[in-house]
Amino acid sequence: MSKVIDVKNLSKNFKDKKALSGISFEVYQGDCLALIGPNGSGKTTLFNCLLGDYHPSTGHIALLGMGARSPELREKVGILFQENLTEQKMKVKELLDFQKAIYPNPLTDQQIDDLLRFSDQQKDQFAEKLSGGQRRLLAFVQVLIGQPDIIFLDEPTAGMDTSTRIRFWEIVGDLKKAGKTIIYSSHYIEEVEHTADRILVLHQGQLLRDTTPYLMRAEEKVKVFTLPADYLPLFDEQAIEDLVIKTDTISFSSKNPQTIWDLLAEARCPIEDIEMTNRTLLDTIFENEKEMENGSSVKK
Amino acid sequence: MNTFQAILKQEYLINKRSISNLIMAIGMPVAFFLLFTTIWANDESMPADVAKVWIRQYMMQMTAFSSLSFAFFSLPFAFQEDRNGNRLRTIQHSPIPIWQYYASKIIGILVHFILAIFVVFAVGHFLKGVDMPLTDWLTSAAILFAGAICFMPFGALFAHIKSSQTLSVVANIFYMGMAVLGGLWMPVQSFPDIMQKMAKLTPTYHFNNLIISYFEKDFSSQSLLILLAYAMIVLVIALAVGKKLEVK
Repeated sequence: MSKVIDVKNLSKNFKDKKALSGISFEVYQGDCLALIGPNGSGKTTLFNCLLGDYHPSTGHIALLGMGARSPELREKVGILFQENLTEQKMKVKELLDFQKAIYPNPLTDQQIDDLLRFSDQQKDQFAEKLSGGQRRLLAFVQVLIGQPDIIFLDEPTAGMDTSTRIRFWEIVGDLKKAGKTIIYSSHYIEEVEHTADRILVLHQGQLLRDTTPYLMRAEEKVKVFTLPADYLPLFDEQAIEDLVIKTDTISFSSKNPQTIWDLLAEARCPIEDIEMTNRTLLDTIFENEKEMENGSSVKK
Repeated sequence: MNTFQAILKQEYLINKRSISNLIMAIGMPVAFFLLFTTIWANDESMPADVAKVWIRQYMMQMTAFSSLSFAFFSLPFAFQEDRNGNRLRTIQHSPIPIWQYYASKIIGILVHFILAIFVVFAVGHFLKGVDMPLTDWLTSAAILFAGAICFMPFGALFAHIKSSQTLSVVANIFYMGMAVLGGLWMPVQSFPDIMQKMAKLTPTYHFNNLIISYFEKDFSSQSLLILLAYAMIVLVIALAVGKKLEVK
């Protein structure tokens, strides 16, 4: 299996910010790789580096053995950008014809119709008049017309309605069968688990995990405890993480819940005082995101 | 169809559907031409042979004015729109060489110049009786075309502005300012002394002077050089700003 993307020790700094540090990974032909992480974790920066739009501050990127800015890559790499912006004043079929004209080996009209499934009337419409989900699907199909070998999808299903989303993942499934290499970023945990062969977890510019959905599920589950603050001294010598002390409660996570439980039982802590939840790494990441989105994190 | 043809076709379709832009860019100068020649160059205000020269000159000035609109507005707004949307980025990552993208935009504007010259000349000839030997028509058209090209670097410079509101303000200031100050609306001779001096600093004054001096049978190569110098200098600034703004 040939290596299509090789990233070694990639860092990207902006004036006041370390956007990426020390990222290394390899992608092989036919991989379907999901890039996940909260907003601000560096997903888009990483995409931009892989596309050659940003120069790495340190480190090295190679796509198909070439530098990210090589002109030969332009017919082999397809990108679906995050923002769902459609070209103005162009009809759907004109946009499709344009893509066919500029690539050396485009899909046939029949193949395009199989993907898009638009009526003739829809194809004669101005693209900007389509619904948000249809425009996104059109943008996706535009990317596929050139038959790129490597496909980057930045939050591909944002703004898609349910049926379009289902159709989208069907198409991705077909692309996987055809051996295309796909790298996508997502906020939706289900999309990652059912389609990705590999998962890269980014957090604050660092690669936290380079793993697979299976391995992620098998990872040690961490338990999160919330207890009355009086019990804090009990855990002085315990390896606990994310300790939060409030006026009347403490909360923390532990990889050894059994030990914590035993300590609490010994201290005769009533069961009503104990709050305990499961938390996988993905849960942690996506929960933080939701908290940041909602603006506060107080759950009583 | 190769990539250049494809992008030219797209450019053509987008422009064909933006006809409303042309109405302002060409319509306003045409309206001014008809209005002001009627007001200022009529039978009662000046002798017929003077009026003829005046009307012909005003026709040239309004053609020049309309080409400014394309250089100062159409060109930078088109670049800005592509940059704020995904179009520029998509093309940068497509097999289309980026020079073809820039060329397609420039060619689009050049076509607009030709269209403006054609329309204003036609209005001048058929509605106001402007009459010249064919060589004069063609030469003045060529001078207007070449002069208009010298203003495109300004558009290239303005294209770097990020916000469309700022661009609108800047473009309007230059558009109106240079046109009026350069003497395209009212003759420079009617300005107070200090403004006449300022006028001679504007590229529009020299643009206008190319036409005036041609018809006086004493073509001003000095004005030509000054206009070219403006174009070169602004082009260099535009390219330098572009380099500096590139995010790496």
